[in-house]
Amino acid sequence: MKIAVLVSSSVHPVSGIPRRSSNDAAALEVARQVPDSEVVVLHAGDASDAALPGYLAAGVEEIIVISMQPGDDAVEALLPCVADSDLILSGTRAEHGEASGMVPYLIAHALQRPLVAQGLALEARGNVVQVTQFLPRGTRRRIEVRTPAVVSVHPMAPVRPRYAFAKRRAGRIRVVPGSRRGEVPSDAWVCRPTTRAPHKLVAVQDMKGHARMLAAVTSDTRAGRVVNDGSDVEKAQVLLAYLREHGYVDARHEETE
Amino acid sequence: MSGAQDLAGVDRAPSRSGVRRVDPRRPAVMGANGIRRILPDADAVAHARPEAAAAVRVPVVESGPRLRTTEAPKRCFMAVVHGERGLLDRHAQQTIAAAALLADATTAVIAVVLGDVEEDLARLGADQFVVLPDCEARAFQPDREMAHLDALISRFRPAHLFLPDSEEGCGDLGRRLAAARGMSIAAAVVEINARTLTCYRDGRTQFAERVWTDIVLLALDVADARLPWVGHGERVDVVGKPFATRCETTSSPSRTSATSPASASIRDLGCASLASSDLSLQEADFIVAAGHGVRDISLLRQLADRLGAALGASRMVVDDGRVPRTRQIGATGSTVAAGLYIAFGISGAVQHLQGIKDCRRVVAVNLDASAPMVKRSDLSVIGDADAIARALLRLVESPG
Repeated sequence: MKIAVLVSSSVHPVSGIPRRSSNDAAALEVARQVPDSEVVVLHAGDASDAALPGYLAAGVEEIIVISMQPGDDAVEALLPCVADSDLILSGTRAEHGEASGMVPYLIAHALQRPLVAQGLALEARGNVVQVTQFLPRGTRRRIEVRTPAVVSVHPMAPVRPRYAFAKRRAGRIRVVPGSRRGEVPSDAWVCRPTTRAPHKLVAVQDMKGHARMLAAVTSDTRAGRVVNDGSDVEKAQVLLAYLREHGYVDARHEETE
Repeated sequence: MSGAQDLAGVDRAPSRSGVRRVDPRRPAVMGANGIRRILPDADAVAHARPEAAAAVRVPVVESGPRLRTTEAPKRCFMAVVHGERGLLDRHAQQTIAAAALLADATTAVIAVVLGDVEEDLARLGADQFVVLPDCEARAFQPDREMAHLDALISRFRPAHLFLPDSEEGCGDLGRRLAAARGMSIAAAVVEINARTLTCYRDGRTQFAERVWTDIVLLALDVADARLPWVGHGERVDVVGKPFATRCETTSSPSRTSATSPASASIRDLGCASLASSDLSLQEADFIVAAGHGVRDISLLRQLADRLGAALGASRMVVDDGRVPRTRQIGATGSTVAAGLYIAFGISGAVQHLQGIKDCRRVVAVNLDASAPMVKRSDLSVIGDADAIARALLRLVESPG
């Protein structure tokens, strides 16, 4: 199975030193753990980027860099290189740059392939891949998808990307000239350094003095039902009824009741 | 000298010492809002007749919250959120409220809830709302959601779409929509005002600002969901409309390939919840927490395992060494965002309440009915935590 892994460059948030994106490194590790896989690592951008050897250190022999000018469209540049791969893997969002998380979506749409986001683990059987998907609050969803497909990997994927200095020195970066087709209109965004925290959108409270005073001295606690009477068993029954009402007691129990 | 006059009730006359004194029992009117108002001109009501009092009565504040706008809408904003077990999470609430805060007098706010909702959406500023119960977040069906949204977009023609940039599925849905329809999108918007929106760029070193995009994916805490007004809150029924039947057919393979060739090769094998012991507290949806009022921790651990909940603890219990430090909830421990949080024997110090501020439903089991935790809870059971936990465990384990 041919797997293309799209990697991005990142910088350390404090020191500003270029480094690999941990999410993309996790995606690379997930791809490397698929048995009988041929992993191609792709990056659209500058070949002299100091972040790229970090991916070599994860154990790949070669990174293909599609050379791109700053204004070019990365998706357009990547498309010809990923079109023949069975599986396209990427991180969920870049850590640096615009980081909109749109690249896997645009590639999946351009190639008309199914997309599974927030993947944690892959299990390939022939041309069918089972993806374990991350959902919040401890839920995991299993999706079966037929290749070719696009999977974006969640940052919490349970893999440990390695970092071997010898591999970093041994690996090489191959440059492929990119097609200069699409261009991103960059004038829409105006950038400036962050000097303050973002302002929160808050409603203008046009309260009278008395109401303002009341709001200041009373907190908006919404006290609920208080059960004072009954034996311990009756109180436990109230709790159980509440759990059942909101679906927190498993269905097997409800059947037996 | 003028004592007789004072006794007659003329309170405006200077007293003997020259200080002007005010009679605390001078005529006043009780307003409908329960505020006692001293009338400005005491002489006018010195011999108060009912009709005179009515004439000077302050305008009564009408009961019930005020509507955001009463004008006829010319355009609309659409907020799309996921509901889970009938509740909206904080992020979803803030998204609807943000759309309402940004809407002007001639803009209606339409809330689209994928899944189930019992909450009062008018309170969040929604003028109309659509509930799509067949689009639960647990099922993987981006095509059905897209078909529903397509139909709603062509029906209401929203000027902008607002979605929470969450992992529940709305962030995914917004990006899919933007890619498929070629709509402009801004992800993880951290600041928005009436004209522009701002995102972080290059980590958090830069603000990138631009005019609004078609789809706005809002980060958490962009807006405050507490609103001084309400929306109209009319439920719009979409059952029986042509697009509802179209959505039904998307599940059949032939139509799926017609709408999106990619989705035919996807199969949803269902969800599984991690075992509570494997789950970090931050991620848990159901937490049973032990406080100082609990003497038997092993009993509570047993109960948590039986209910499929994660076990948390207050600082007191952790300091005693009865529960590991990783399980501490509160300011020094972890902040949790569970759907249901049951506090056994926790009085609810401010630091602890801070740790559970994102929990949607809180249940307290406590001996002290005046504890702060009881004020925070949706359901409070007053009694011995150990005894009630034991009774609950017995009820859960008994098969009848």
